[in-house]
Amino acid sequence: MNHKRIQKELSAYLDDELTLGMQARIEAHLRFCGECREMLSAFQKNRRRLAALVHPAPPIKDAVMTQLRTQTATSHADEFSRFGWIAAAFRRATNGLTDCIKASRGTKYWLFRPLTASATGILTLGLLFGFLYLYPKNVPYEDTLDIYFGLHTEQLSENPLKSNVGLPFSTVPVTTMDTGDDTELFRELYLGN
Amino acid sequence: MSVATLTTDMDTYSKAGTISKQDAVKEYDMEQERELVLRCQAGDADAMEILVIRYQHWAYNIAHGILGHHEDAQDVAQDAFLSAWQNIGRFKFRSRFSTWLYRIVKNKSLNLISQYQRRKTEPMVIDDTHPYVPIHTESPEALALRGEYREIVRAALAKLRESHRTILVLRELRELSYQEISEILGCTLGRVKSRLHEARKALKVELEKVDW
Repeated sequence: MNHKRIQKELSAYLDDELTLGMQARIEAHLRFCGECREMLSAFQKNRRRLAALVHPAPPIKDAVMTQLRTQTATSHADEFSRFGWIAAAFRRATNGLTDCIKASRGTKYWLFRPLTASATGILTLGLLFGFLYLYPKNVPYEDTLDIYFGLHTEQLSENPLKSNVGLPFSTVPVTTMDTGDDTELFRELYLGN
Repeated sequence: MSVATLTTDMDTYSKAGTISKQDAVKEYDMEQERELVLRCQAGDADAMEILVIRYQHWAYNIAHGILGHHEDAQDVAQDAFLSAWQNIGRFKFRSRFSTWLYRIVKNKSLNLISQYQRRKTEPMVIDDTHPYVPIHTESPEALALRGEYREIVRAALAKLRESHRTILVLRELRELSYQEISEILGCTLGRVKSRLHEARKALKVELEKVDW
């Protein structure tokens, strides 16, 4: 290992952040390299000088706690005021959304990433509202049943070749439909008695 | 909490010698810290008071190391605690509370520096009535004799780049591990290692300039 590389590791050596093997290599190098020894001793000296800068902090606890309790009281008062709860709810919703986005950033599941998740959400909402908007409204009960029973009965009783599938429901003469009991007819056709 | 209770708890934590006493103390500290944060999240201001007492010294010292100014450091430390309280609900225990708090302190200190730098760009009145700008004419030895070691180091620290100053403060003043520093600064362990080395070299150069 060359001199430059060893020099770059000196800082980590001082902080005891190297592997045992690396430490041994550096110690071996330090035995014959004066420049590295000088650099290491300067680092050690400056460390002591910097450590001397630490001094007792002024008592900030009282000031912090006074402000903190005042803030908490104000925010509680806001929440219970006439319109304050709207602001509080909005703030919470925004915080929640930000948290969701932040949490999803690191995820490996592509579906939960912000862009994919929002696109999926928008599409789902679009489909839901589209379905609700286009869903047929006020469909008469008889017409719905006509599709399955009425037309078939009419075709059987009048003209089996005539189809009225393409016609609008309103033109189907509902009153002329044979609504009688077909049991006998079927019995004759299929059982032959 | 009484000393006896604490000792008993420590013994329970050390699990009959399976982990070292030092690790047990650290684990116990972290467990206590976690409980306090949970209480804060439930809106307990008394728990926050304990956290403030526990970390006010280091919050202030880190801010002071970065800013080099007593009043500003005090304001930043206070602000950091208030921000921590307001956003405690967002703390997800991905790191230690102290690491999270120091990150807030660091960000607030750097914000203040950039604010000052922006203000500096405004036009200012220059008083050129004096023929020269008075500077420190005392030699480093004289300063040292007067017990102003601190001022020399502080001045050298102030001349360093922001990133160098911050990393030196976190490592040399607070003695944080590389892992914790990387979490605070949001960079890799390799980057911490190389930046710290550069910072130490820069400080060495600055101190050598004053022949100290």
